[in-house]
Amino acid sequence: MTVTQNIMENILSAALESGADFAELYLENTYESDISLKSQKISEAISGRNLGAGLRLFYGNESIYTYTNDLTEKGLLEAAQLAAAAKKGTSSTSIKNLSPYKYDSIHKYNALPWDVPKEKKVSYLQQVDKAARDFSNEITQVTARINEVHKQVRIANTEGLLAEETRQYCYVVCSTVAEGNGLREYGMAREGSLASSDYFETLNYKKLGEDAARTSVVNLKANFAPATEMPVVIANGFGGVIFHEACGHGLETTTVASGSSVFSDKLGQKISNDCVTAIDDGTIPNIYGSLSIDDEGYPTQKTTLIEKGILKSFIVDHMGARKTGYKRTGSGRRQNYKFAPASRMRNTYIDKGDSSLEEMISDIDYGLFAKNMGGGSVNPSTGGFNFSLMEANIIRNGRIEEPVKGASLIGTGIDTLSKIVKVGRDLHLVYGHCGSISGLVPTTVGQPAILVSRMTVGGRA
Amino acid sequence: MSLSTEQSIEKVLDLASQKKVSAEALVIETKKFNASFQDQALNDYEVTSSRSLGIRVVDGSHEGISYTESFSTEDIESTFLEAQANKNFVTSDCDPSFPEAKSIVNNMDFFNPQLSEVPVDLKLEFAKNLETYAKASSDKFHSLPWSAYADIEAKVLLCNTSGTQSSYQTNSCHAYAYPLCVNGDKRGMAFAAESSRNFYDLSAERIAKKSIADSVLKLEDTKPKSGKYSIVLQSKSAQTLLSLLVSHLSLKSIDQNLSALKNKLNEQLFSEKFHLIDDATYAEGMAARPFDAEGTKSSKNTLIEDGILKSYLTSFGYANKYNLKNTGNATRSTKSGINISSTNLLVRPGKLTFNELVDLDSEVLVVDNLKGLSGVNPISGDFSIESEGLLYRQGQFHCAVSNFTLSGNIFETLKNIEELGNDVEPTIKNIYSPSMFVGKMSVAGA
Repeated sequence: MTVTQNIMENILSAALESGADFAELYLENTYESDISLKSQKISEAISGRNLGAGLRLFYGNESIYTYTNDLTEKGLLEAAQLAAAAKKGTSSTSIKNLSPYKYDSIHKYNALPWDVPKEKKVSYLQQVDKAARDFSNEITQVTARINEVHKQVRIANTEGLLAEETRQYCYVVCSTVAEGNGLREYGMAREGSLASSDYFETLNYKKLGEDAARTSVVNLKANFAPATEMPVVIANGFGGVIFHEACGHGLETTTVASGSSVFSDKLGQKISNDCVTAIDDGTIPNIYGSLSIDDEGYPTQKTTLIEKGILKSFIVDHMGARKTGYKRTGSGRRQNYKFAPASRMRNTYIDKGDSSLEEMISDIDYGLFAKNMGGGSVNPSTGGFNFSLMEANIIRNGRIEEPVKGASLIGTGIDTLSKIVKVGRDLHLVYGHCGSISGLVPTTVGQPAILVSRMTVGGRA
Repeated sequence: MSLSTEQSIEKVLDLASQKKVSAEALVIETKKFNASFQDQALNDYEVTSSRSLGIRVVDGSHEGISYTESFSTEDIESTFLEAQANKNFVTSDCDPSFPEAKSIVNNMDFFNPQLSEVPVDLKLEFAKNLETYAKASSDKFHSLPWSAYADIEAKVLLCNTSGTQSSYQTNSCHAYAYPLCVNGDKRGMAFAAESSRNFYDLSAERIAKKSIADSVLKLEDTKPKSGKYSIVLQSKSAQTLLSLLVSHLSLKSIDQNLSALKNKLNEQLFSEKFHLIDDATYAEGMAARPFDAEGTKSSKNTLIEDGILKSYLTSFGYANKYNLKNTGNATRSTKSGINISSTNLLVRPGKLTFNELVDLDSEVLVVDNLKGLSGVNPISGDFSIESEGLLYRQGQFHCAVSNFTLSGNIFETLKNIEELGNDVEPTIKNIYSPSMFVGKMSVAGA
């Protein structure tokens, strides 16, 4: 990026002339490459560069945001003046000298996206396609996609912070269609990481294709899940989407600060059983939701949200800290410069407990084993959440039995947390994307298998 | 040095000429404004501008795409080369060449100059009033966690080596409120929104009062018992459900074996009361445009007539491949390939009032909020969606219900439409549908 430190200081100083008490400049230069395979041939190859700046001003607890992709000094100054024109403040704060924040990144990158030939990425997609089609002759369509992002961010603010980070993301996703007996079913599998292109060499493409194919083939023969309340064992890994939706979003200061989250007044209170300890950790090396600094330039952290059932911390960004008085947790995140940062989850999981999956299953007379989950959503202000099942089985007399399909699991956050009665030992984290007020950000969800004593299973009556 | 939009397009076409390939340049310039208040303090204020260039290079059946937000000569050249390199990997499913040259310049039909002149102070006052009116509407008001006044202005320029040189301007504004009402342990929320090209058509008072009235209703909600219920999909929910149909109507999805409507043209698939039109020329619709992403002039197309599937949504290449009419539904951003999608979808309203719809059975569950669409199978059309609603008995409101799922299949649901209402609610989804009585469906609750 050609925006010099001197220009950054000029822009921040200009922004403060409106009487703001804080100004922050976020510069981004992102290269993204995306290759898709469909119908056994490469259907799309798209790549390009996002380049822009976001400028944010604080007036106490009020915030002004603007962005532009004119990164000339003139363009940035116009953006600063546009933002500053929105409001007049009374602060006489002046900019402190920018001082580079130095740190040793724990994340390692060995290659750049453009270092690895696209031919190689195409061959990975072809391996996924072959594995899925070889799994069953009921597979009639395979879509596979390989995506890489190389993102450079640079953040400066009037408190003298100058921080930068380069982040690289990789993921591969496969979806399949199986057909038989006049029915069509869908399957999906994915892998991703905070990593450079050499990560793609470590993946098992045969397994990825087979996993997606298996889901669609299994569902082809499955009946619809029942519509009822029952005990549910949720498998490890992406099962962690339950905590992400049921609780995680409700702990973000975006909703906590206005008092509208169901968890707003629960800090220090028992909100779950002793078996539940939940963590949001941005510091795990090279996994999808990790960072070195957040998108406000603050060092990211490991944050214990719930410890043995007691709510210990919220997820706090800069403005959230201003509004609530809670300490920042390095959780200010945004999809790109077109979004103002907000408090967001990073790698969020229920920590391992001391039960085994077998114990949980064997205690249930009639229930559901949620083996493979899709996405979900929540309203943090009512606590109502949902997530979809991609693969599930009925548990009958302590055994996992026939597969069922077509259900979502729903509940309300506080009620569901109180019904997590067993937590397994098989903690596993899985990459994902989370969409919310500041856009789509890379996250990880995870958990060991857990037993929820009663949930609504949204199948067919 | 940054090139102007016109210079950058010229540069792309020059490069295409030099490299002896066909190419298309798409530039989208946008300006956005967004403001919201909480506790009468400015919670969010955004005023933004951006410009991006998408380059599509075509050589025979090969097509490559690249994009940039930097308009320097060097970056445009490297972006072009990247698109050219990408095309070597891609064999298109259909002929990716460009339609016959048509130059359409339309800066007025979908653009209201007065909207650009609305003073910022008025917009801020509007955003603040959403909270003011909401608070004044009920003593159960707790907070307004989600609300905004927003407007957007866009200029789209599409040029290609076949001679197309088209452009249009569009703008619109919208506002919404999603307040939280509290009564003891009970929490109720309901969403209301309006959109227009005329700022003065929007009413903060109307949006706030509607959202609060509906939120208060939900304070006394219960969880319904699992079972089969006669269902009315209220206008907003019907709009949400119809959004699930769009990908199945796309001829690209048909071609890729991803649609359940393959080989179903002219079949009676839906209720004979169901009539669906896609109309990119519907000026009141926020998705109106004079031409699509390939430059094809916009038109009005009947997709479903009296329940019979009459047309898919098509683009130039796919329409040619299947010898069907090009409906002008190609869509793309500067950062994506050509897809096919709806513009303004309009369902023909029925004659019954909402009160008549809820009196069609002794007990009717009105689903007024389908929350999140993660529980939708994109291939089979099966769905299981967390929902909220209102239970009516003998045509009278009985209680609000929440924390349940509505399960079914999109095609079966539209086949089971028994009656349509005459009540099309304002939408920000570009789907205009009345409420629908769809017979019995599965509900999972207590």
